Amino acid sequence: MSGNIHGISWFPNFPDKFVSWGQEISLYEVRTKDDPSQKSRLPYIPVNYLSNETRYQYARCVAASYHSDQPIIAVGLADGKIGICNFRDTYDSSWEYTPRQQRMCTCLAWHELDANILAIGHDKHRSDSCITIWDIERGVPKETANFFGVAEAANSLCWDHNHRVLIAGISQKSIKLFDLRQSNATCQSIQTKTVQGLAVAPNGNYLCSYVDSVIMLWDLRAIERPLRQIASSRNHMQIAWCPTRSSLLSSLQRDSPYITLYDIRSVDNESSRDVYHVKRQISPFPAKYQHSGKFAAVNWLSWHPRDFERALLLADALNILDFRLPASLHTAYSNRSKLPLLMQRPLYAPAGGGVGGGVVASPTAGSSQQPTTTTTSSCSTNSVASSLNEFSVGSSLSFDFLERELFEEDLLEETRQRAQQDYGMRPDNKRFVEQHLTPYLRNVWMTLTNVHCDDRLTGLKATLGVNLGHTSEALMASSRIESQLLQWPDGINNSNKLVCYRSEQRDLALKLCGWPIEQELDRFIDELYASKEFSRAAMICVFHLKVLAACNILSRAADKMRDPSMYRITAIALSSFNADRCSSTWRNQRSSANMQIQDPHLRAIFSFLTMEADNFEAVLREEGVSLADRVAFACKYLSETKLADYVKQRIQRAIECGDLNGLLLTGESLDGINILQAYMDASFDVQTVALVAINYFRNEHFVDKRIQYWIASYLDYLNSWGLWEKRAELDIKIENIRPSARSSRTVFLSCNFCGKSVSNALLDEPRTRSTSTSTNRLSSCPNCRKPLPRCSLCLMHMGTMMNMSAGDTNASSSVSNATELQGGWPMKPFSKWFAWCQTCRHGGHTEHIMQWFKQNSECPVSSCNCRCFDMDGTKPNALREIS
Amino acid sequence: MFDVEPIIADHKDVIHDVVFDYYGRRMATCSSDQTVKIWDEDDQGKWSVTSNWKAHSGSIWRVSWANPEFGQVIATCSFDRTASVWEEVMGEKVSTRRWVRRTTLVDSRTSVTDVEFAPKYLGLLLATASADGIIRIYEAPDIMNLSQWPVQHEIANKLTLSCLSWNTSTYMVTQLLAAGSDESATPTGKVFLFAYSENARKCVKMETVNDITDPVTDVAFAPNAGRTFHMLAVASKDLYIVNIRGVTDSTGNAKLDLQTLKFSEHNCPVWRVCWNMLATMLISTGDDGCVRIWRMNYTRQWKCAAVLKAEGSGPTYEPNPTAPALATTAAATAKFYKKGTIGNQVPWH
Repeated sequence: MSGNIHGISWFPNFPDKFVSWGQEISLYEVRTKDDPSQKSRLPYIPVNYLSNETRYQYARCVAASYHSDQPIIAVGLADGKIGICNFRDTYDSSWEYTPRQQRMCTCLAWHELDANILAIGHDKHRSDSCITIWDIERGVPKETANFFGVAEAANSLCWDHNHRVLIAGISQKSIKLFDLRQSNATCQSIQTKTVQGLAVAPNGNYLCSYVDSVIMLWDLRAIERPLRQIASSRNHMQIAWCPTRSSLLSSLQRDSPYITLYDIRSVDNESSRDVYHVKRQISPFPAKYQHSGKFAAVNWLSWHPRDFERALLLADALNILDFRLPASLHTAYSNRSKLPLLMQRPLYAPAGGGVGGGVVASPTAGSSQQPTTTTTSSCSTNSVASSLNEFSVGSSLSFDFLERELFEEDLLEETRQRAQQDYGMRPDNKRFVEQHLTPYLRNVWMTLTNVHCDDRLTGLKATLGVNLGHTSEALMASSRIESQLLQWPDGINNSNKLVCYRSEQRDLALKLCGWPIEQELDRFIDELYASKEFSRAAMICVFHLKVLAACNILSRAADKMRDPSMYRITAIALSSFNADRCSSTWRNQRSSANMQIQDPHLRAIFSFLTMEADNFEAVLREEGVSLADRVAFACKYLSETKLADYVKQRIQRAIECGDLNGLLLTGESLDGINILQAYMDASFDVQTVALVAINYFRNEHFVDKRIQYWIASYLDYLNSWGLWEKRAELDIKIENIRPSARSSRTVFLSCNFCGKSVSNALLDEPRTRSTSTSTNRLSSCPNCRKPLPRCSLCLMHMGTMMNMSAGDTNASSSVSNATELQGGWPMKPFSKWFAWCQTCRHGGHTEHIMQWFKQNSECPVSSCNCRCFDMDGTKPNALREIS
Repeated sequence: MFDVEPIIADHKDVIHDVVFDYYGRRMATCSSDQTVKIWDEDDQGKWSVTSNWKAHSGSIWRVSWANPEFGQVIATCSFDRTASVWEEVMGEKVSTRRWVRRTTLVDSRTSVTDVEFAPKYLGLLLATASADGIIRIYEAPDIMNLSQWPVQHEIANKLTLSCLSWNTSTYMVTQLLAAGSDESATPTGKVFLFAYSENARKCVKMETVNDITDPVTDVAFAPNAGRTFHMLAVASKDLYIVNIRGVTDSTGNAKLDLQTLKFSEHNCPVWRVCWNMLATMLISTGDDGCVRIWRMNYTRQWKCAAVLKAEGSGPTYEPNPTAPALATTAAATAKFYKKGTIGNQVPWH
């Protein structure tokens, strides 16, 4: 292969063949299956090289014909010679035409219906005509009827949709339409400068032309005036309609790596015939080549005649690309777990044809895209459908995971599952183990359950009297603090004094942190051991100065562990620990050791044992140890001022980083809300925030605007998921918190006639009353004695106990008795209540109404045509769902 | 994790918008073929078209669902200079439903580019943006009568508008409305934030996002369940996320504090953006047919977690490593021929 390529073109009736021209003309076939063993002749597209044509070099213009028996092209040369070649015959002089005067051939256009007819355009030469119609089977044109455009130059040529009219851009100044049906071809002429690149849209109505940077659109039905003018910043090089879309115009611009697409659309109402366009620029090159400089510009484009939005592109001399317009994918977020992708067409390119597989298969995507295609062309589309089937390039959706973990962790799905598992509805320790909570959240909830006592989340800050300043109360509190000098156990030999503080408040605080009182320590440690929190158990032992016990725990734990080394070594180290000897070494190594000892509890043990002069910073800053443990430790060993500072500092930190554990310190307070807010900002987890607020912020802060907003948002989520029961449960829970709201009822039954409450009378009715009297009494309004509405099915009055009506069996009465026994519930289950249609106001017992609407869609009242049940079903199968 | 389900929309032309209703069980699509389709999900999770009608006489740009509290109501807007409100009513036959046009809003003199129902707390309100730069806010004073939609506010802008988005949350800020412009001529900010001003008794422009100067095709407020800051996703030449904080300055005026983040992974203009319910995921669609899914990582940075693409968009053939090198002389000849071009061929007609 030699030379370079100047232009390319598909053959309209050979869906896999295309021709390229330039220095020489070559015929290629696109491979159906990419066979790696065969090397492709072209670098970017798998092709088989079929043949070439060397007679005509440096073709000015080339047109592929509509012949369906063999690939035939017409070549126009710079000296005006026109050659026809079929890539087979060696040389046939009859297939060559030379005009009388030598001048450049400018354009060629084959006739689609009569494949032998070729229109040729030439440059101007004195009084010679510039357009020639040549029937290649009948020899060189001689008759005057075949010549048009005397003493002018042809700039471009095209046939109209029915191939009766030849449209030509003439001498840079007009577009002429030659109607060839009449013997002396009549000519219609429009003055315009836009004479290049004439083409008729696949819908047959629009004609486009361009000059420099202006594209002009014409309507062939009313050609006198341009339909629309589209100006752009760069000069156009080639424009073409996409044959598989009704009116998509592509344009290549000089030195531009983009394809510009104009989607031409019209408004078709009576008053206006507006045409508008949507412009889009796409770069056809894959991103990885975009900056390589290899593809500086798109030089030529040839749309595939059948395949949906497929084209060949000539980027630079040899870089031919097979290109499809990117599939337009649509997606929107639904609150379900599926992400639907909407596609205008199936991804398996040529769409419809692929479904049936046969020739008579449903119209292909191409023809359905063009409602205005004539029957002839859609027939031909069908005839090639089967061959296209095999040809279609397999294409499907692909998912590239860039950050798989990030993609898979889905708070939304988690939130929904937790809602279904009654997350946060009845907080007690056992439930959190069952639910699939993250360790962090489980820890938070357990801490909160510990702190929560006397129906109030007090918080250690208040318990310890921090921030009360030097009020008398604080002084009193501090006065009661006993300090006690503790002796380090034998063997530790830490020369620093260890002072332990105790007071009533501190004892309470320890308890709230989940630490036991001294007497119950052993049991607590055993519990921790049982729940496999070995290192934490050891740490708490050491904090209580029971180093030996800690050794025991660790050595026992080491037996159980898969990787016991760390525990074992710690146990050994503890058993012979001498603080005075070790501390200097330890301190030197602390920074590196801190990184290497993985278990934060073990780190805390060593930090504690080697502490200097009541400086516990290393323990207190150990973020891996739970805040509760650290605060408990602080309560034990920090002096009052230091403790206050520590608590304040921790609260500040919790607000900064949104750590819900900070609620342990703040309790129900403004700071607590700030912590919730910070957690919300960081995690977006409104569910946890709302549920913590509902469970623990039940007093004066419950009415805080923020808390109310979180709760409302969470309820809204439950609504949109359709989790009505969960929402109702939560509503009940919230309702129980509001002391004021509990007493007032919001729904009343009022009599239609007197407007007074009927339901009060119903409620006041003593349960022991005999059936007969209650039935009698409730058939009318207790105030005005007007009759109450009846159930339209059983004709009993509203308020009548259904189990007392004749038709009901003992079974239902036992049901209602059972519900009555569950104290606090209303006397009747929901199915015995009354329901109304809000439109026609007819109704009755819910149970009866439900039965009725299972079979009927109209109102049970005989003269009423209301279709009550269809009224608010959002979807047709709503009925099935409810019943 | 979620699944991806391809649905063939079978619109006859480009699809412009797809929106789910409040419960995620219904879907509305609109297209340049001037039709709207309503999809319902059956018990097996399959989507099927239950209504399909020609709604306008031009391309339909957007569709929006009203809150189900107001019934089954959608609004559409089109190039034909109108926006319409549609309501689903019962048909003559049993359990058939059809959509009837309740009103046509004809105030705009140019293409209506976006329409969106306001969040529920504001009542039944509808905002439209049009190509002449006017945002109109309509209100149905009587929610039982959807044929009356008087204009409540009209906000004029200098730039043509392409999209708008209501902030569904009032947490910490007053009601906000964002609008974007696809004007490409001027290098000014293209995203505007509007709010109702109690003093002026009208909607006023609060802020312009000056960092975004490329044409904007879509804006979307993230749902906010109670974060102190609001997030606005902007589809432009790149993807942007604007963090908005309501602050009160020294004089007591409410102000907005903006922080703009830019993400250029798309390598092509971004076309549409949407959030999930908790705003933990952002989905953006590029012009090249790639859908990108964004999530926030533990350092609270947005990261593109996955790319979804339809193969066949763009050339898939890998170049031959032994591609013949270009002869420089040949390239020179090519140039000569290119310059000599006068006519162009249109081989297909």
